[in-house]
Amino acid sequence: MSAMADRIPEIPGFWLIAALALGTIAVEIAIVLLSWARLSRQRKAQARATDGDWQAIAALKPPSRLPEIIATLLPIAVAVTSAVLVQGSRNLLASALNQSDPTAKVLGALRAVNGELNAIAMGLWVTPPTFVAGCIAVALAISARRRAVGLRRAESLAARHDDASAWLKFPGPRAGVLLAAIGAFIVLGFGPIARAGFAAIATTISHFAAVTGLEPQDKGPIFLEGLVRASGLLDRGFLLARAGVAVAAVVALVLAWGFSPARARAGVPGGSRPVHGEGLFGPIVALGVIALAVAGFLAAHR
Amino acid sequence: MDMRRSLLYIVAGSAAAWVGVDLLYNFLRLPDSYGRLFLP
Repeated sequence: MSAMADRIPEIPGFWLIAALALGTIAVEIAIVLLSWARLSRQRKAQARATDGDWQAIAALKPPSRLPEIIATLLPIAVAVTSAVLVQGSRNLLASALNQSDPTAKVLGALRAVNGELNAIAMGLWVTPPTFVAGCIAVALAISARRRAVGLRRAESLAARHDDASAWLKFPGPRAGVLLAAIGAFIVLGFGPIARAGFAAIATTISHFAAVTGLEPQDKGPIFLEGLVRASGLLDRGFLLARAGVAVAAVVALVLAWGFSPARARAGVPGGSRPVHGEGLFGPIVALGVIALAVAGFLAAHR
Repeated sequence: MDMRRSLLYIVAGSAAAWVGVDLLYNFLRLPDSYGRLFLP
């Protein structure tokens, strides 16, 4: 533990990233608890409405989108902050290599590379837990919001003496299904590349450590070997991650089809009628994400 | 949520994950080119 504490000064922005990650996880837990409470209140209201008492559903507040938006943005903020800190070390390296004094050049460059490797390792440690917590919070928040909307729809149908049984029985997506679909992308897509990142950093650091005390002409080959090994690990992780994203897409499709509340409602005799007014917020965000992804892809492959 | 909506969300999620993995890979791969600066 003390060895860990000694290294804190070597990790750029340690306290910033640690505080941000811990704060994120705390907020995500709060969103999970809030959504959990909403879902259990909904279950009770649903049971009472099945017995003919619609008061409890009428009393349900329509949850806002804010929790799911916060739950999505916070882990991304942690990842971006971590990337900015790593980039800071890379900029230090570039400026160190431009120095004319050879000693200052070598010392500055070594400090920058050390900082960079530590910043990447720190980022790989703290970012995944925030994404896992975020994934759980987003799934629960979306489920709580969609199911509340569905239950209120059932209530308005019942108020007009229409058949509300389909909406009452299948008000919206189940949290577990959403969690599995979102989690598939996180675990199968980002899992392999994060794991490979760890292994690559460990390999680079161990080769870095191995060259200390060697003659300058002997350092080169060992150092190069470390870099080649690290790159190989990352390349393999990247292939696995790509395959993982494809598998996750199939998993999400199967879950969306198999557990579709709309399909379940259609299966209730006399129950389902198309109800419009789901809003365009979701599709617009989805189209925006696709546009950003295409732009990001083109920027990365210029 | 109807299937068309779900499909759109899945396409968006897949695109985001695909590009996210790409960016992360490129970002982690950079120490290699920086590291090579040290080679004699």
